[in-house]
Amino acid sequence: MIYLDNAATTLIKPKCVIDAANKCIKHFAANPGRSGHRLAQMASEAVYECRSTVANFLNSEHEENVIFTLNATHALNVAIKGTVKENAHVLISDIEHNATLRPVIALTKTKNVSYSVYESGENIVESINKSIRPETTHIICNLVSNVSGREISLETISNIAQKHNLYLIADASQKIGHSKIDLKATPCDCLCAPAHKGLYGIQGAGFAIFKDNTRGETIMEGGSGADSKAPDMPRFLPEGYEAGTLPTPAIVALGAGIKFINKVGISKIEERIRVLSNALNERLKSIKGLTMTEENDLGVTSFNLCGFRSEGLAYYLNGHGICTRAGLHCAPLAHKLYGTDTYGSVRVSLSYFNKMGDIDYLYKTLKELV
Amino acid sequence: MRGTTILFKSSTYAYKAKKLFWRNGIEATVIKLNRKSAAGCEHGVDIPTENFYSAINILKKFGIEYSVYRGET
Repeated sequence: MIYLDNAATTLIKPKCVIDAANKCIKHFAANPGRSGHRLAQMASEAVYECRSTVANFLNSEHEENVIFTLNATHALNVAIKGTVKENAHVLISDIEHNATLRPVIALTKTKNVSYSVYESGENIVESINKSIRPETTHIICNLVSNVSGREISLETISNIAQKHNLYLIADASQKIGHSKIDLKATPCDCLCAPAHKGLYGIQGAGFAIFKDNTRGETIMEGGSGADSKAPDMPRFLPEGYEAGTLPTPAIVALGAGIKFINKVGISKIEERIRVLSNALNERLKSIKGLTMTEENDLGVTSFNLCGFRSEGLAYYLNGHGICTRAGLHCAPLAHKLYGTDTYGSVRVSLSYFNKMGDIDYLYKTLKELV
Repeated sequence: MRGTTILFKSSTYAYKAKKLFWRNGIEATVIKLNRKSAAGCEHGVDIPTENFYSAINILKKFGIEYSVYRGET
Protein backbone atom coordinates (compact mmCIF):
# COMPACT_ATOMS: atom_id res chain seq x y z
CA MET A 1 0.00 0.00 0.00
CA ILE A 2 1.04 3.59 -0.63
CA TYR A 3 0.11 5.47 2.51
CA LEU A 4 -0.81 9.11 1.90
CA ASP A 5 -3.04 9.70 4.93
CA ASN A 6 -0.41 10.95 7.34
CA ALA A 7 -2.42 14.00 8.39
CA ALA A 8 -4.85 11.56 10.03
CA THR A 9 -2.09 9.50 11.61
CA THR A 10 1.37 8.48 10.46
CA LEU A 11 1.37 4.79 9.63
CA ILE A 12 5.07 4.05 9.37
CA LYS A 13 6.76 4.46 12.73
CA PRO A 14 10.50 4.51 13.32
CA LYS A 15 11.85 1.27 14.76
CA CYS A 16 12.97 3.08 17.91
CA VAL A 17 9.32 4.09 18.60
CA ILE A 18 8.05 0.53 18.27
CA ASP A 19 10.92 -0.78 20.39
CA ALA A 20 10.30 1.84 23.10
CA ALA A 21 6.57 1.07 23.29
CA ASN A 22 7.26 -2.68 23.33
CA LYS A 23 9.87 -2.36 26.04
CA CYS A 24 7.53 -0.28 28.17
CA ILE A 25 4.59 -2.67 27.77
CA LYS A 26 6.78 -5.68 28.51
CA HIS A 27 8.83 -4.33 31.37
CA PHE A 28 7.56 -1.25 33.19
CA ALA A 29 4.06 -0.16 32.19
CA ALA A 30 3.04 0.17 35.83
CA ASN A 31 0.97 3.15 36.96
CA PRO A 32 3.13 6.32 36.94
CA GLY A 33 2.98 8.80 39.81
CA ARG A 34 1.02 6.51 42.08
CA SER A 35 2.67 3.52 43.73
CA GLY A 36 6.15 3.53 45.19
CA HIS A 37 7.45 0.19 43.93
CA ARG A 38 10.32 -0.04 41.48
CA LEU A 39 8.20 -0.57 38.37
CA ALA A 40 5.89 2.34 39.17
CA GLN A 41 8.95 4.51 39.71
CA MET A 42 10.37 3.42 36.35
CA ALA A 43 7.07 4.39 34.72
CA SER A 44 7.04 7.74 36.57
CA GLU A 45 10.58 8.51 35.50
CA ALA A 46 9.84 7.55 31.88
CA VAL A 47 6.81 9.87 31.84
CA TYR A 48 8.89 12.64 33.39
CA GLU A 49 11.64 12.15 30.81
CA CYS A 50 9.08 12.46 28.04
CA ARG A 51 7.81 15.73 29.53
CA SER A 52 11.38 16.99 29.40
CA THR A 53 11.81 15.76 25.84
CA VAL A 54 8.64 17.55 24.72
CA ALA A 55 9.62 20.78 26.51
CA ASN A 56 13.17 20.73 25.10
CA PHE A 57 11.86 20.02 21.61
CA LEU A 58 9.76 23.17 21.81
CA ASN A 59 12.53 25.16 23.50
CA SER A 60 10.74 25.50 26.82
CA GLU A 61 12.41 25.06 30.19
CA HIS A 62 9.19 24.09 31.93
CA GLU A 63 8.54 20.39 31.52
CA GLU A 64 6.12 20.61 34.46
CA ASN A 65 3.85 22.67 32.20
CA VAL A 66 3.51 19.81 29.71
CA ILE A 67 0.26 17.96 30.36
CA PHE A 68 -0.40 14.66 28.70
CA THR A 69 -3.77 14.00 27.14
CA LEU A 70 -5.33 11.32 24.99
CA ASN A 71 -4.88 13.26 21.74
CA ALA A 72 -4.80 16.83 20.38
CA THR A 73 -8.59 17.16 20.54
CA HIS A 74 -8.49 16.35 24.24
CA ALA A 75 -5.66 18.85 24.73
CA LEU A 76 -7.60 21.58 22.90
CA ASN A 77 -10.71 20.85 24.96
CA VAL A 78 -8.66 21.15 28.17
CA ALA A 79 -7.09 24.42 27.01
CA ILE A 80 -10.24 26.03 25.62
CA LYS A 81 -12.75 24.96 28.25
CA GLY A 82 -10.22 25.42 31.03
CA THR A 83 -9.30 29.02 30.24
CA VAL A 84 -12.21 30.70 28.42
CA LYS A 85 -14.46 32.38 30.97
CA GLU A 86 -18.15 33.26 30.93
CA ASN A 87 -19.30 35.95 28.47
CA ALA A 88 -15.90 36.04 26.80
CA HIS A 89 -15.36 36.65 23.10
CA VAL A 90 -13.00 34.32 21.26
CA LEU A 91 -11.32 34.62 17.87
CA ILE A 92 -10.84 31.54 15.72
CA SER A 93 -9.44 31.24 12.22
CA ASP A 94 -11.29 30.15 9.11
CA ILE A 95 -9.21 26.96 8.92
CA GLU A 96 -9.97 25.56 12.38
CA HIS A 97 -10.58 21.87 12.86
CA ASN A 98 -13.65 20.70 14.76
CA ALA A 99 -11.29 20.01 17.66
CA THR A 100 -11.39 23.77 18.21
CA LEU A 101 -14.67 24.76 16.60
CA ARG A 102 -16.86 22.35 18.54
CA PRO A 103 -15.51 23.16 22.03
CA VAL A 104 -15.96 26.87 21.24
CA ILE A 105 -19.51 26.28 20.04
CA ALA A 106 -20.18 24.22 23.17
CA LEU A 107 -19.06 27.22 25.26
CA THR A 108 -21.54 29.48 23.47
CA LYS A 109 -24.24 27.29 25.04
CA THR A 110 -22.76 26.73 28.50
CA LYS A 111 -20.90 29.99 29.20
CA ASN A 112 -22.53 32.51 26.90
CA VAL A 113 -19.28 32.78 25.00
CA SER A 114 -19.31 34.43 21.57
CA TYR A 115 -16.82 33.99 18.77
CA SER A 116 -15.71 35.55 15.50
CA VAL A 117 -13.91 33.90 12.61
CA TYR A 118 -10.87 35.72 11.22
CA GLU A 119 -9.33 35.24 7.79
CA SER A 120 -6.20 33.11 7.65
CA GLY A 121 -4.96 34.46 4.31
CA GLU A 122 -3.07 37.60 3.38
CA ASN A 123 -5.45 39.84 5.32
CA ILE A 124 -4.96 38.00 8.59
CA VAL A 125 -3.69 40.94 10.63
CA GLU A 126 -6.35 43.31 9.38
CA SER A 127 -9.04 40.68 9.85
CA ILE A 128 -8.01 39.97 13.44
CA ASN A 129 -7.74 43.66 14.29
CA LYS A 130 -11.24 44.22 12.94
CA SER A 131 -12.64 41.32 14.98
CA ILE A 132 -11.20 42.28 18.36
CA ARG A 133 -13.77 43.59 20.83
CA PRO A 134 -13.39 44.88 24.40
CA GLU A 135 -14.55 41.47 25.69
CA THR A 136 -12.15 39.46 23.48
CA THR A 137 -9.92 37.31 25.67
CA HIS A 138 -8.64 34.52 23.43
CA ILE A 139 -7.25 33.94 19.99
CA ILE A 140 -7.12 30.36 18.75
CA CYS A 141 -5.17 29.35 15.72
CA ASN A 142 -4.67 26.23 13.65
CA LEU A 143 -1.03 26.56 12.59
CA VAL A 144 -1.47 24.38 9.47
CA SER A 145 -4.79 23.47 7.89
CA ASN A 146 -5.53 19.77 7.76
CA VAL A 147 -7.50 20.38 4.56
CA SER A 148 -5.20 22.49 2.44
CA GLY A 149 -1.88 22.78 4.25
CA ARG A 150 -2.32 26.55 4.57
CA GLU A 151 -0.06 27.88 7.28
CA ILE A 152 -0.71 30.58 9.84
CA SER A 153 2.54 32.05 11.08
CA LEU A 154 2.94 31.49 14.81
CA GLU A 155 5.18 34.53 14.90
CA THR A 156 2.45 36.75 13.44
CA ILE A 157 -0.25 35.44 15.70
CA SER A 158 1.99 35.51 18.76
CA ASN A 159 2.82 39.17 18.14
CA ILE A 160 -0.85 40.04 17.75
CA ALA A 161 -1.75 38.15 20.93
CA GLN A 162 0.95 39.93 22.92
CA LYS A 163 0.03 43.34 21.52
CA HIS A 164 -3.64 42.95 22.46
CA ASN A 165 -3.03 40.92 25.62
CA LEU A 166 -4.99 37.94 24.28
CA TYR A 167 -4.58 34.36 25.48
CA LEU A 168 -3.17 32.40 22.54
CA ILE A 169 -4.01 28.74 22.00
CA ALA A 170 -2.28 27.10 19.04
CA ASP A 171 -3.26 23.83 17.39
CA ALA A 172 0.01 22.39 16.08
CA SER A 173 -1.44 19.06 14.93
CA GLN A 174 -0.27 19.35 11.32
CA LYS A 175 2.85 21.41 11.95
CA ILE A 176 4.63 19.65 14.75
CA GLY A 177 7.41 17.38 13.59
CA HIS A 178 7.36 18.91 10.09
CA SER A 179 8.89 22.24 11.00
CA LYS A 180 10.49 23.84 14.00
CA ILE A 181 8.43 25.40 16.77
CA ASP A 182 10.29 27.59 19.24
CA LEU A 183 8.19 28.74 22.15
CA LYS A 184 10.88 31.09 23.39
CA ALA A 185 11.04 32.94 20.09
CA THR A 186 7.29 32.78 19.50
CA PRO A 187 5.54 32.69 22.88
CA CYS A 188 2.22 30.97 23.11
CA ASP A 189 -0.02 30.54 26.18
CA CYS A 190 -0.87 27.00 25.21
CA LEU A 191 0.18 24.79 22.32
CA CYS A 192 -1.62 21.51 21.67
CA ALA A 193 -0.49 18.56 19.58
CA PRO A 194 -1.03 14.83 19.07
CA ALA A 195 1.69 12.21 19.52
CA HIS A 196 0.71 10.03 16.58
CA LYS A 197 1.11 12.35 13.59
CA GLY A 198 4.32 14.19 12.76
CA LEU A 199 5.96 13.12 16.02
CA TYR A 200 5.66 9.44 15.01
CA GLY A 201 4.29 8.29 18.33
CA ILE A 202 1.42 5.85 18.62
CA GLN A 203 -2.27 6.59 19.05
CA GLY A 204 -3.45 7.27 22.59
CA ALA A 205 -1.41 10.31 23.59
CA GLY A 206 -1.28 14.03 22.95
CA PHE A 207 -0.20 17.00 24.98
CA ALA A 208 -0.69 20.64 25.78
CA ILE A 209 2.18 22.82 26.90
CA PHE A 210 1.16 25.87 28.90
CA LYS A 211 3.12 29.03 29.61
CA ASP A 212 1.78 29.29 33.17
CA ASN A 213 1.77 26.62 35.83
CA THR A 214 -1.66 27.34 37.31
CA ARG A 215 -4.54 25.35 35.95
CA GLY A 216 -7.89 26.77 34.91
CA GLU A 217 -11.17 24.88 35.09
CA THR A 218 -10.99 21.14 34.64
CA ILE A 219 -13.02 19.14 32.16
CA MET A 220 -12.35 15.88 33.98
CA GLU A 221 -11.64 15.10 37.60
CA GLY A 222 -10.25 12.05 39.32
CA GLY A 223 -7.11 10.53 40.75
CA SER A 224 -3.94 12.48 40.08
CA GLY A 225 -1.35 10.88 42.35
CA ALA A 226 -0.98 14.20 44.17
CA ASP A 227 -2.76 15.86 47.08
CA SER A 228 -5.14 12.91 47.35
CA LYS A 229 -7.00 14.19 50.41
CA ALA A 230 -8.13 17.38 48.69
CA PRO A 231 -11.62 17.34 47.19
CA ASP A 232 -10.47 19.19 44.07
CA MET A 233 -7.85 18.53 41.46
CA PRO A 234 -4.45 20.07 42.30
CA ARG A 235 -4.16 23.75 41.35
CA PHE A 236 -0.78 23.19 39.70
CA LEU A 237 0.32 21.53 36.49
CA PRO A 238 0.71 18.93 35.20
CA GLU A 239 -1.29 16.84 37.66
CA GLY A 240 -4.06 19.46 37.89
CA TYR A 241 -5.20 18.53 34.39
CA GLU A 242 -4.24 14.86 34.38
CA ALA A 243 -7.10 12.88 35.93
CA GLY A 244 -6.78 9.12 35.79
CA THR A 245 -4.05 6.80 34.62
CA LEU A 246 -1.80 8.15 31.90
CA PRO A 247 -1.19 6.15 28.70
CA THR A 248 2.43 5.35 29.63
CA PRO A 249 3.33 3.23 26.56
CA ALA A 250 2.02 5.94 24.21
CA ILE A 251 3.87 8.63 26.16
CA VAL A 252 7.10 6.64 26.02
CA ALA A 253 6.57 6.16 22.26
CA LEU A 254 6.09 9.91 21.90
CA GLY A 255 9.42 10.52 23.61
CA ALA A 256 11.10 8.05 21.25
CA GLY A 257 9.45 9.72 18.24
CA ILE A 258 10.83 13.12 19.22
CA LYS A 259 14.28 11.62 19.80
CA PHE A 260 14.06 10.14 16.28
CA ILE A 261 13.22 13.59 14.87
CA ASN A 262 16.10 15.15 16.79
CA LYS A 263 18.45 12.49 15.48
CA VAL A 264 17.38 12.95 11.85
CA GLY A 265 17.17 16.72 12.25
CA ILE A 266 14.00 18.75 11.90
CA SER A 267 15.49 20.74 9.03
CA LYS A 268 16.16 17.54 7.08
CA ILE A 269 12.58 16.38 7.65
CA GLU A 270 11.26 19.78 6.63
CA GLU A 271 13.33 19.66 3.44
CA ARG A 272 12.15 16.13 2.57
CA ILE A 273 8.50 17.15 3.05
CA ARG A 274 9.10 20.31 0.99
CA VAL A 275 10.65 18.41 -1.93
CA LEU A 276 7.89 15.78 -1.92
CA SER A 277 5.18 18.46 -1.62
CA ASN A 278 6.55 20.44 -4.54
CA ALA A 279 6.68 17.29 -6.67
CA LEU A 280 3.10 16.48 -5.64
CA ASN A 281 1.96 20.00 -6.53
CA GLU A 282 3.58 19.87 -9.96
CA ARG A 283 2.11 16.49 -10.83
CA LEU A 284 -1.38 17.24 -9.57
CA LYS A 285 -1.48 20.60 -11.35
CA SER A 286 -0.66 18.94 -14.64
CA ILE A 287 -3.74 16.71 -14.53
CA LYS A 288 -6.57 18.10 -16.59
CA GLY A 289 -9.73 18.78 -14.60
CA LEU A 290 -8.01 18.56 -11.24
CA THR A 291 -8.47 21.44 -8.79
CA MET A 292 -6.32 21.76 -5.69
CA THR A 293 -7.52 23.59 -2.60
CA GLU A 294 -4.17 25.30 -2.27
CA GLU A 295 -0.52 24.73 -3.17
CA ASN A 296 1.91 24.51 -0.31
CA ASP A 297 5.07 22.73 0.70
CA LEU A 298 3.95 21.50 4.12
CA GLY A 299 2.89 17.99 3.18
CA VAL A 300 -0.90 18.40 3.19
CA THR A 301 -3.11 19.20 0.24
CA SER A 302 -6.48 18.18 -1.11
CA PHE A 303 -8.09 18.21 -4.51
CA ASN A 304 -11.10 17.37 -6.60
CA LEU A 305 -11.24 15.89 -10.05
CA CYS A 306 -13.94 17.07 -12.44
CA GLY A 307 -16.68 14.49 -12.80
CA PHE A 308 -15.84 12.56 -9.63
CA ARG A 309 -17.09 12.76 -6.07
CA SER A 310 -14.25 12.74 -3.55
CA GLU A 311 -15.42 9.49 -1.93
CA GLY A 312 -15.56 7.76 -5.30
CA LEU A 313 -12.11 8.99 -6.17
CA ALA A 314 -10.63 7.83 -2.87
CA TYR A 315 -12.37 4.47 -3.38
CA TYR A 316 -10.75 4.18 -6.80
CA LEU A 317 -7.33 5.06 -5.34
CA ASN A 318 -7.83 2.55 -2.54
CA GLY A 319 -8.51 -0.07 -5.19
CA HIS A 320 -5.07 0.73 -6.59
CA GLY A 321 -3.41 0.45 -3.19
CA ILE A 322 -3.30 4.17 -2.36
CA CYS A 323 -4.59 5.35 1.02
CA THR A 324 -6.02 8.87 1.01
CA ARG A 325 -8.89 10.53 2.83
CA ALA A 326 -12.07 11.80 1.19
CA GLY A 327 -15.01 13.96 2.24
CA LEU A 328 -15.08 16.74 4.79
CA HIS A 329 -12.00 16.52 6.96
CA CYS A 330 -13.64 17.55 10.26
CA ALA A 331 -13.00 21.15 9.22
CA PRO A 332 -16.22 22.70 7.89
CA LEU A 333 -14.90 26.27 8.02
CA ALA A 334 -11.96 25.38 5.78
CA HIS A 335 -14.19 23.56 3.31
CA LYS A 336 -16.45 26.59 3.16
CA LEU A 337 -13.40 28.74 2.47
CA TYR A 338 -12.39 26.55 -0.48
CA GLY A 339 -15.93 25.95 -1.74
CA THR A 340 -15.68 22.22 -1.06
CA ASP A 341 -18.25 22.12 1.74
CA THR A 342 -20.79 20.12 -0.28
CA TYR A 343 -18.76 17.13 -1.40
CA GLY A 344 -15.44 17.63 0.34
CA SER A 345 -12.14 16.78 -1.29
CA VAL A 346 -9.52 14.04 -1.53
CA ARG A 347 -6.67 14.74 0.84
CA VAL A 348 -3.11 13.63 0.27
CA SER A 349 -0.78 14.02 3.23
CA LEU A 350 2.88 13.11 3.50
CA SER A 351 5.38 12.02 6.08
CA TYR A 352 9.16 11.75 6.20
CA PHE A 353 8.81 8.10 5.21
CA ASN A 354 7.10 8.76 1.88
CA LYS A 355 9.17 8.38 -1.27
CA MET A 356 9.11 10.11 -4.62
CA GLY A 357 7.85 6.83 -6.07
CA ASP A 358 4.68 7.21 -3.97
CA ILE A 359 3.95 10.56 -5.61
CA ASP A 360 4.71 9.15 -9.06
CA TYR A 361 2.40 6.20 -8.51
CA LEU A 362 -0.43 8.48 -7.35
CA TYR A 363 0.09 10.65 -10.44
CA LYS A 364 0.15 7.65 -12.78
CA THR A 365 -3.02 6.20 -11.19
CA LEU A 366 -4.90 9.50 -11.48
CA LYS A 367 -3.74 9.99 -15.08
CA GLU A 368 -5.00 6.54 -16.00
CA LEU A 369 -8.40 7.45 -14.60
CA VAL A 370 -8.55 10.72 -16.48
CA MET B 1 20.41 5.90 50.87
CA ARG B 2 19.29 7.19 54.24
CA GLY B 3 19.98 10.89 54.17
CA THR B 4 17.56 13.75 54.18
CA THR B 5 14.28 13.55 52.33
CA ILE B 6 12.89 16.56 50.54
CA LEU B 7 9.22 16.40 49.66
CA PHE B 8 7.48 17.62 46.54
CA LYS B 9 3.90 18.17 45.59
CA SER B 10 3.95 15.43 42.95
CA SER B 11 6.23 12.92 41.29
CA THR B 12 6.85 15.34 38.40
CA TYR B 13 8.55 17.82 40.73
CA ALA B 14 10.42 15.07 42.50
CA TYR B 15 11.93 13.92 39.20
CA LYS B 16 12.64 17.49 38.18
CA ALA B 17 14.50 18.01 41.46
CA LYS B 18 16.38 14.76 40.99
CA LYS B 19 17.51 15.87 37.53
CA LEU B 20 18.66 19.25 38.85
CA PHE B 21 20.47 17.66 41.81
CA TRP B 22 22.34 15.21 39.57
CA ARG B 23 23.31 18.03 37.21
CA ASN B 24 24.86 19.74 40.22
CA GLY B 25 26.66 16.66 41.42
CA ILE B 26 24.25 15.70 44.19
CA GLU B 27 23.32 12.05 44.33
CA ALA B 28 19.55 11.79 44.60
CA THR B 29 16.92 9.05 44.66
CA VAL B 30 13.19 9.51 44.18
CA ILE B 31 11.15 7.70 46.80
CA LYS B 32 7.51 7.41 47.64
CA LEU B 33 6.81 7.77 51.32
CA ASN B 34 4.83 5.19 53.18
CA ARG B 35 3.16 7.87 55.22
CA LYS B 36 1.90 11.22 54.08
CA SER B 37 3.60 14.33 55.32
CA ALA B 38 1.67 17.18 56.86
CA ALA B 39 1.55 18.77 53.40
CA GLY B 40 -0.20 15.72 52.02
CA CYS B 41 2.71 15.00 49.72
CA GLU B 42 3.93 11.48 49.10
CA HIS B 43 6.79 11.98 46.68
CA GLY B 44 10.23 12.72 47.96
CA VAL B 45 13.85 12.85 46.95
CA ASP B 46 16.44 11.36 49.24
CA ILE B 47 19.79 13.19 49.24
CA PRO B 48 22.95 12.93 51.37
CA THR B 49 22.47 15.15 54.41
CA GLU B 50 25.72 17.01 53.75
CA ASN B 51 24.25 18.25 50.44
CA PHE B 52 21.09 19.55 52.05
CA TYR B 53 21.81 23.30 51.82
CA SER B 54 23.14 23.06 48.27
CA ALA B 55 20.01 21.16 47.29
CA ILE B 56 17.73 23.74 48.88
CA ASN B 57 19.56 26.53 47.07
CA ILE B 58 19.02 24.75 43.75
CA LEU B 59 15.31 24.38 44.45
CA LYS B 60 15.03 28.05 45.40
CA LYS B 61 16.91 29.08 42.26
CA PHE B 62 14.46 27.16 40.08
CA GLY B 63 11.40 28.14 42.10
CA ILE B 64 10.44 24.58 42.99
CA GLU B 65 8.21 24.23 46.05
CA TYR B 66 9.40 21.73 48.62
CA SER B 67 9.16 20.71 52.23
CA VAL B 68 11.50 18.65 54.38
CA TYR B 69 10.44 15.29 55.77
CA ARG B 70 11.65 14.42 59.22
CA GLY B 71 10.12 11.02 59.79
CA GLU B 72 10.91 7.49 58.74
CA THR B 73 10.81 6.71 55.08
